[in-house]
Amino acid sequence: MSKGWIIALSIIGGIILFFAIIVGWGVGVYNKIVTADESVKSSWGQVQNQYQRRFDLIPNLVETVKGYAKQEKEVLIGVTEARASVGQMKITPQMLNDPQAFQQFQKAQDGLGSALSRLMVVVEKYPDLKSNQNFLDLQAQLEGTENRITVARMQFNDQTQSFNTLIRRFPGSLIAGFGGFHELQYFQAVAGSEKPPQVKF
Amino acid sequence: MNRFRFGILFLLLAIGASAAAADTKIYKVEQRVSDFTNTLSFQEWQALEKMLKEFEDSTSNQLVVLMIPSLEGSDIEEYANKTFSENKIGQAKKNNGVLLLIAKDDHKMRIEVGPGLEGVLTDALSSQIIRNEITPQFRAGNYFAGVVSGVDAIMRATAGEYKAEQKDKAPAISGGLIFIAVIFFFTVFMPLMGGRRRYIVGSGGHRYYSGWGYGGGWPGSFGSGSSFGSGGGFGGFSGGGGFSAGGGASGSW
Repeated sequence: MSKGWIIALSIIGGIILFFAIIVGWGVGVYNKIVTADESVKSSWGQVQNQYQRRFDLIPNLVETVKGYAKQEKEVLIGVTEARASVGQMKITPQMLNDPQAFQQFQKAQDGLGSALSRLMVVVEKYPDLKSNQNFLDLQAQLEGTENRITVARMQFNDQTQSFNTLIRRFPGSLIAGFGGFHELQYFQAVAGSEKPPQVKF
Repeated sequence: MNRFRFGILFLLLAIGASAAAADTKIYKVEQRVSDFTNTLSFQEWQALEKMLKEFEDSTSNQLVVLMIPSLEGSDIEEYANKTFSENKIGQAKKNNGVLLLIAKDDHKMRIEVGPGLEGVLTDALSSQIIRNEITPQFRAGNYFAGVVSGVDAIMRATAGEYKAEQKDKAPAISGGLIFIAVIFFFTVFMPLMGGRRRYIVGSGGHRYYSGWGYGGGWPGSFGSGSSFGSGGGFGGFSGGGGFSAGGGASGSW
């Protein structure tokens, strides 16, 4: 072989090697994004589970409170209505990049949360209810569920943050563009939640 | 009003948790019972530690008691969750850990339950244990009795859920390897260690001391390590890799 051939072949080989490295690197980044996306989805599943748990708990709670505190009709209706509006809302993992749907979901859930906390405030006025074992257990379950929601939401936000960072920073943003990945939504702190609600008796 | 925490909970929904808890020191759990309030006597500590060690040996459930002076303003739910997860309480795949956290000066406590035990130790049951077993004793100032009856109730609830694996993994190490290790130990390691062996015994005692509480003030010389060593050698606590999803219940007294 002539010297020219050898040079040409090494250049071609170099180019092939270069592209192989690029593709390999791209696949690596792509897989990373997919993994991050899956973590977001699974943590979203946790969020949904916990919200569902709260949703399921409410009828029993409302019934129990009703037995002792009939005059708190307004608050009880508030809870039931808030629950109904949550019930119509379902967010699939595919909708996580839709800001509007996500905000609506959060608004409904937060609305239910504050209706429930109003309920838990008024029940303080009923000593009979407060010493009812069934109610105390329901209250513990509700508190536990609220706490799980907090934890699940925090984890979801963490996962979403890593995912968003991955697809927005430079090498990732290139691959995310190819793969059709979009930025996902976070949970925001509820406006006005910085101060615990004031209770007036 | 004590039970009304939702307002505070919502505060914590912000991205990346609240700053308050980030500033509060999370204790590293080195014993199954860590009393940083110096409430328990040595004998009481020893009895509890023994209970929990035996429980873990037979069920693989990791039950940890942590008594701290104060939460320093942070939320007990979040604090317990962080302490639980940072210390990896519970076995990795079973997530069968339970943390009994007591903030003595705040008069608050929480039973934080790993997801693997949430089925048997439900929020409602955790709350019942706090209300009916622990709170009355704490109100009367009987901290040890409160902790014991709480721990006992938790054990009864969770005992049947898992069984300790009886050294399933032992055969993975071949006999030949053990033989080589033994030879290595006697020919290379032992002569090197020489006179330092007593130091190792002493450090066991020190570990006990550091995990048990600051401030010391205990009569007798437990720093020597001999009493610890002869007491059956509990060994320290090491988390199995569990985490918490926020299950359990809180209470105050």
